[in-house]
Amino acid sequence: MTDRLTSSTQGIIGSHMMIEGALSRLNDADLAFSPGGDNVTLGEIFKSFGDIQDSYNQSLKTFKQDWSKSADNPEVTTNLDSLKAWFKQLAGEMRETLQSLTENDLQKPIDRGNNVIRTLDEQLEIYIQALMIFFGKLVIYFRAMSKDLPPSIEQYIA
Amino acid sequence: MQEQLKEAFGILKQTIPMRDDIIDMLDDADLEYSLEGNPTIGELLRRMGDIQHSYINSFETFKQNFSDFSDDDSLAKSTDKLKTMFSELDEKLENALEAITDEQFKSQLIDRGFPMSIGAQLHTFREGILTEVSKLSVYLRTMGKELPQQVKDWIW
Repeated sequence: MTDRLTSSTQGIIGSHMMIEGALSRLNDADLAFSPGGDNVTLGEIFKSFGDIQDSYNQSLKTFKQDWSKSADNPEVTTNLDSLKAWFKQLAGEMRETLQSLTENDLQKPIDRGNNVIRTLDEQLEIYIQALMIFFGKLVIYFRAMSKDLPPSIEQYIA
Repeated sequence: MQEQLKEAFGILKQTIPMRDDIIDMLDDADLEYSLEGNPTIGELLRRMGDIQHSYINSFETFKQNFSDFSDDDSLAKSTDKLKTMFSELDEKLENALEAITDEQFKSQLIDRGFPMSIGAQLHTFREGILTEVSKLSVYLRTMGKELPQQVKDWIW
């Protein structure tokens, strides 16, 4: 694995551990929380991000990103055990894919749809940006719920 | 500007308008709005300025200090002051990046508690903007305000 690939992989795996830390502080009732207005529930935020993560997982394998798929698992928005199991599966799948990549793969093109082509290297960067957007929302929701954030999220995101 | 920084700065300049679009849709009274347990929207925006200030310094000194923050409370209460602050910060950021040489870009590391390349530092700053705009999007939705189009497109 190259330095560049190692750095991206470590950043992504570390971020997935931050998600695990956030999930460990929640219960089923918390997933129903919304700060109000047009905001969706916390469970729906996790579900949306899980679908995004899944689309990135597939894009790293097929070199084509499909934004239209949404996992048929509505229970994850209300059931913490199901949500944890899903995120564990998603994180494991991405870790396995990342660890199978080589330096040559970094420049392979990925079709993101709408005539947008990015290299795999850029795709990993964009995925990290999606993670940051997700964490930004989590910070506001957790604070509104008076929940302690995992120390890593408190330090790097909050 | 160094070639790779120029490209990264171009992408950054596509990101910054989301911040400005949000400020444009707010008035001074909106800046007082907060969600329970969270800072006011004005404080969140002022903090974005503090973060940008620390990144600018890091490009000038190659050392990042996350504690040298503004104590001007009035910034969090005035959209005009926020606009002026960000306009000045954006100019300073561009000037700081302009001053970085090709040699520095290749070999100089920034000490942010751990070493980071200049290119990675600029990427990290952009990620910081996305994180803060994401936080702001939750506030705007709670306030019943329509999100600016680019925020809708970029922040799911």
